[in-house]
Amino acid sequence: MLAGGPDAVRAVAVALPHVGRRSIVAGSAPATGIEEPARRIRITHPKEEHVAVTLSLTVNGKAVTATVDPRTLLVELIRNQLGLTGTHVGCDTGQCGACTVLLDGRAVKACNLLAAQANGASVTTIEGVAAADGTMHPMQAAFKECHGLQCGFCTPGMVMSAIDLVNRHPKASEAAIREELEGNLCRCTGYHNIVKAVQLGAASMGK
Amino acid sequence: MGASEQGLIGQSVKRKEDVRFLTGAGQYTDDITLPRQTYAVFVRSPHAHAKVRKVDTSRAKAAPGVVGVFTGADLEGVGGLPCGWLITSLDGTPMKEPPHPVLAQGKVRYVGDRVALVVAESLSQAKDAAELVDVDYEVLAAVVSPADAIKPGAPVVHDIAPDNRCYTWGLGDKAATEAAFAKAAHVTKIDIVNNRLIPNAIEPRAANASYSRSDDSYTLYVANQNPHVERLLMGAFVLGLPEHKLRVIAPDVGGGFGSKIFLYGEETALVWASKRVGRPIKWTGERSEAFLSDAHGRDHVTHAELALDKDGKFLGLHVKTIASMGSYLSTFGSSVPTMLYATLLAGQYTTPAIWAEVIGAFTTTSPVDAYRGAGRPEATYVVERIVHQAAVEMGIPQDELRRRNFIRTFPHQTPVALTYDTGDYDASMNKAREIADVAGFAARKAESAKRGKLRGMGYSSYIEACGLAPSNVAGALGARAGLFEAGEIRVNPTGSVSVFTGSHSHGQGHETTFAQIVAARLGISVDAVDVVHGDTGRIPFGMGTYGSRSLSVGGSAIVKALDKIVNKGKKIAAHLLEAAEGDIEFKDGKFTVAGTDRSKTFGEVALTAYVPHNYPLDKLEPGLNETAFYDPTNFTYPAGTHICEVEIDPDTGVVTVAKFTACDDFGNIINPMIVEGQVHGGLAQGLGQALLEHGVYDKESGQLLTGSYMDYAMPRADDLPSFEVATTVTPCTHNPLGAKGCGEAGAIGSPAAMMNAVMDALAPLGVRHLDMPASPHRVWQAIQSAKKG
Ligand code: FES
Ligand code: FES
Repeated sequence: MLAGGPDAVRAVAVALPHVGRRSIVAGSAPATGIEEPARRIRITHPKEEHVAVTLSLTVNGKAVTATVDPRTLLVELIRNQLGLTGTHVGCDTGQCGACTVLLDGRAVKACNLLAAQANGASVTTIEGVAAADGTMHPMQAAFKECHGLQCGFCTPGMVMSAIDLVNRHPKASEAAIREELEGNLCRCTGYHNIVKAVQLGAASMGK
Repeated sequence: MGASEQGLIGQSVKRKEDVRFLTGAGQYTDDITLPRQTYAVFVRSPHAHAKVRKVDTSRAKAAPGVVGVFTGADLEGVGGLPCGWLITSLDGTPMKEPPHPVLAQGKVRYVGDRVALVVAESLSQAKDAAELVDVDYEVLAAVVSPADAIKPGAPVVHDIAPDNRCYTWGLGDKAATEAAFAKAAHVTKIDIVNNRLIPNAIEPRAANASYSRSDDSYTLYVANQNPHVERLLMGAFVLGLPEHKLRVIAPDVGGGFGSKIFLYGEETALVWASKRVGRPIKWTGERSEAFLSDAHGRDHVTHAELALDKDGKFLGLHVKTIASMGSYLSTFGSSVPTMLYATLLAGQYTTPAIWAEVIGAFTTTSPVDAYRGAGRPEATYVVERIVHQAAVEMGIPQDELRRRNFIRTFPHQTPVALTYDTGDYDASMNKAREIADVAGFAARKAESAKRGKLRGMGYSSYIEACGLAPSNVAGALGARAGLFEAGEIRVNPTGSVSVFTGSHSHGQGHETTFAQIVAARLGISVDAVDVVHGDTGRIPFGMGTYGSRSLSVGGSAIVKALDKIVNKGKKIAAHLLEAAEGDIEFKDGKFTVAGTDRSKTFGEVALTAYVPHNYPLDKLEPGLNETAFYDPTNFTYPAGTHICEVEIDPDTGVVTVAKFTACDDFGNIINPMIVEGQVHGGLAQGLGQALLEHGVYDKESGQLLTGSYMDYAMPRADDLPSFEVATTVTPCTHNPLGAKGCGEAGAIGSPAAMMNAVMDALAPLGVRHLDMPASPHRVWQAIQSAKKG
């Protein structure tokens, strides 16, 4: 489902808020195009209205199996079932980016994906980017160094987006960084120091 | 001040709180899930104005997983949400204070008004059940603009205010102002709208309330800026709970900007219901709920006139404002367009006579209350837009007209109640002009013109009154609360320090700034200091964080508590060193007998206080733990000059902020990095107001048209430039830190600077008027209508 790249993700993003919760339950798997065998989900109680589905995925390097209501969003799985509350929810229209995680290495908005869509995938959240010994990821360190955060609520999403941004554009200009961060809202910093942090993070990630 | 103090104060110490936020270890309200947790959803009015004929909860109550469904009828007897500031009208009558029910009683007055609370085992079940609450509405006409609301025949929002007027209030000297206009050589007039804003902290409001049968007490986790005030208002005024039976915890809070100061019905209903259902109840607002139900900001309609003599000296200012209260009086809603607005209309100028008249109007919209700057951005916008216009009309350069009217002697008594203690407005103007490269503007303008673009430059020399507030002054002006702050320094036996502050950090970095103050004074490391805030169960009674008050008031309380610690430490050291107390000096973490090398370290003294074996127990209590309350003697007056340069594409109407310079005087600064960050954030919100943001209700239906991030244009990274920020310093004269406050300046100064730049750019095309936000559509239309003449 990620074969279409960010555009495909965005298409889901636009579609989701307009679909009633019931209709997601009824038609989620086919409508969102989960076709690869690895992503196929197991439905346990096909006759009930709210059937449960069992998923297997990797989260922050650990294998996870979870049984969820099919309408469960990826961000709900991460926060409520896995207890990884560093991933935040700031909106209900897929536009703030507070929920950004890496799905198979690419930044996605976890509020715009059903948990089922992450079946078989590898998910990285803010809790999973530091080194095993606790040393912060260079991008985390850069945010601290440049005062790229204030209340911290947008921050995990910003850091995840920034890591993906630098992976794709290691030498992004200020203008390119600002454009790339379009999908992440921050109400505290005015973005000034976030941009600086991404620049510093890019430099240290390149080392 | 010792070497270590000088080393820490004024230093950009990296923030102590960052690691938890950067690693996902922050604990925001929604991150907290309690044993036997239930989840709440509010049924909200889909109408702007309607009678509630009947609420039928029977289907909802029967839905799977439902634990309780409550309506206004269940809450009868529970008080309404109070307003914290009494405004008295010009005719001597008190403002109209209609009831503000926790859940609607008989009528709804804005889209999003709370009608019922549904509590269920899971959030999905609560949502499903909420859809089954049947409400029979009789729809009434809406009125959304404050100017329309006070017209005869407008739909009546509250029966106790048949003309929709909450108050008609005035400040200043009407006769003196009229006399000033009578002798004016020139009068400049403007009509402006200060656009409604929706605060949009990225963390939505959230609460989690629980009741304990064992001691008949409640605990409320809530995304809030001032937990003690929340507790006081909710406990004493609404639910009738004694304060010791209600603990309010505001854990990590994801931004506030004013919107989380207020006592809202949601958390109040949760606390009330938690006892009824006997389980914890969690509610987390969705963004669409935040748009509908968070208190909004601004929403003024103003006519202003400035009288000048032939040389451009300001003689008098007359301002008439209609301000929206929204549907109900929010916690501080009444004070924002009055006490926090009209008092600032002198700006940085010597204007000798001012008369301001403000009508507070009820409308069928979300309540309006303090949002970053609260009244002061509106005042600055009036003053700086009219000064700009006057300079244009009189052909005097913008900086020159301002300089001709700057206040230069202090203290300065304004005609609108305030006494400015200190400032140097020329200094910030000069520095801003230098950094903004005003000299190079003509060349940049010519270069833009070559590309077919219009370039303009605008000034805003703002002032604000912060450090809220001298309690007695505020009380005389109608405040129903004290406005001091509390600080407690608890020195632990082995010398580390826990600081308990009534201020609340929701992004401001108090855990670092306050730790710097303490570490510098006690000569210990910043890492040995922990700052605790946001929990009525742990901190002394405090007033919370808003109005840029935390450092000047909360920080001063900490300084006073530190004074007590040092004084007691001196007594202990004198005993240990067998010297007179008066001979003990404390410096760099050491108590020394003056003129000798005999000393005890701070750690030794702390340990002695808790292991008082060799101790003057007959004269001195053991322990090293001191609390102080600080009540300021005056407001503080941060001020500065902002200069904005815009480039406009006349074909599309797109405005680009090409350059923005802010030079501010915040008094003494503890952590420049944090201060700059505060300015950046304020600028983004101010430029957001001028360029993008506008909360719009449909005139007919009263529906909120800007109810999501698809319709409400939040500033994003590529809408803004990098900012040039600098400071000048005149220390505040009346608090021990000499600090003035920096949290709101950006949002106060920048809208006028940007709009003045837009007006400057469009002036050659004959555009005379434009309201915020300067969206491409509005700018393009202004250009087209100017073309038509
Ligand atoms: S919560 Fe996912 S984009 Fe806002
Ligand atoms: S740091 Fe508060 S929203 Fe970005």
